[in-house]
Amino acid sequence: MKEPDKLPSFKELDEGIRKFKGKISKRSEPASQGAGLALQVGVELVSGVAVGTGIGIVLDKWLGTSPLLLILCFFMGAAGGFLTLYRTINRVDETNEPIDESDKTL
Amino acid sequence: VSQHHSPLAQFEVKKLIPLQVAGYDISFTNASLFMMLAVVCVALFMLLGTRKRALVPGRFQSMVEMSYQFIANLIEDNIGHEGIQYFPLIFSLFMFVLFCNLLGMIPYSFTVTSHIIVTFALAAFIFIGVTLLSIVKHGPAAFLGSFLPHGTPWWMAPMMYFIELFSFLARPVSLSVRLAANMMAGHTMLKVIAGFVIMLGFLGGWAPFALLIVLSGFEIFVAVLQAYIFTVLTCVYLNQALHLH
Repeated sequence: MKEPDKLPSFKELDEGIRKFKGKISKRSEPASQGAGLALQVGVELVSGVAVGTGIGIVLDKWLGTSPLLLILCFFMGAAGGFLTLYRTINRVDETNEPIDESDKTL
Repeated sequence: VSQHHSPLAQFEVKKLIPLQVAGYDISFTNASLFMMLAVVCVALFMLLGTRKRALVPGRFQSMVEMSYQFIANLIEDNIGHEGIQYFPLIFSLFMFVLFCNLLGMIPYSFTVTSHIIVTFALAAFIFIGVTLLSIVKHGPAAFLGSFLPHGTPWWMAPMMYFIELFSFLARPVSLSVRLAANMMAGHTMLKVIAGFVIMLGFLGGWAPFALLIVLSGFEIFVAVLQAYIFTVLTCVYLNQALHLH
C-alpha cells in the first residue's frame, strides 16, 4: 500500500466534513418529513374551517345577523386554512430544496 | 368481552383522590398522576444524566446532551440566535410532551396528550404568550398591521386581512387537535387490533399480533414525531412573533 505523501490540511478536512454532513442531512430529511407532513396538513384545513364557523356563529348570536356572518366567516376560515396549508408546504419545500423567489410573495 | 373492554376505555379519566374547592372539582385524577409522572421522569432523566458531568459522556449523559443539542439546533434553525433566550420554555415543552406521549405507550398507562383539553391548554398558553410577546415587542399597531400582506391591492385588503386573521386564530386549534388526534387515533387503533388478537384466539390471532408489534413501533415513532412537530411549530410561531413580516 502506498503511503499518502501529504496529510490533508485542516481546511481540506473541514471542507470534507461539511460536505459529508450536508449529504447526511439531505438524505435523512425527506423520509421523516414526509410522514410528518402527512400527519400535519390534514388538521390545518379542518381547524381553519372550524374556527371560522365558530367565530361566525358567535358573532351572529351577538349581532343578531343570523346566517350572514356565519356564511362569510365559514369561507374566510376555509381560505385561512388553505393559506396555512400553503405556508406549511412552502416551508417544507424551502428546507428540502431552494424554490424560486417568486413563490414566496404570498 | 367487548362491552367491558371498549377500545375507548383507556381514555377514561378516573378520580383517584376526590377533591372539591369552592365548588370546583379539582380532584387528583389519573391524568394528573401521569402529568406529574412525566414531570418527575423528565427531572430524573435530566438530573441523573448530568450527575457525573463527565467530559466524555457515557450513554445516559449523551442522551441528555443529545436532547439538549437537538432543541438548541431547532431553535437556532427556526428562530435564529436571539431565540436561545426562549430555550427553557421550548425545551420544557418538548420534554413534557415527549414524555407524556412515551409514558402513554406503556401498557395500562394513561395517555395525557390524547385529551384535547390538555393539548389545547398547552396550545392556548403558547398562542397567548406569543401574541402578547409580539404586541409588547412591536406595539399593538404593528401587530394588527402584520395581518395585511405586503403589496395587497386595496380592493383585496379587507378580505386578505380577515383571511390572515382567521389563519392566525386557527393556530391553537390546529396545534392542539393535531397532537391529540394523532395520539388518540393511534391508541384506539392499537386497542382495536389487540381486540382482534383475543377474538381470533390461538389459531388466527397471530396475524393481528404481528401487526400489533409493527404498529406499536410506529406509535412510538408517532409519539416522538408529534412532540417534535409541536415544538417546531412553537418555534415557528415564536419566530413570527419576533420578526413580524
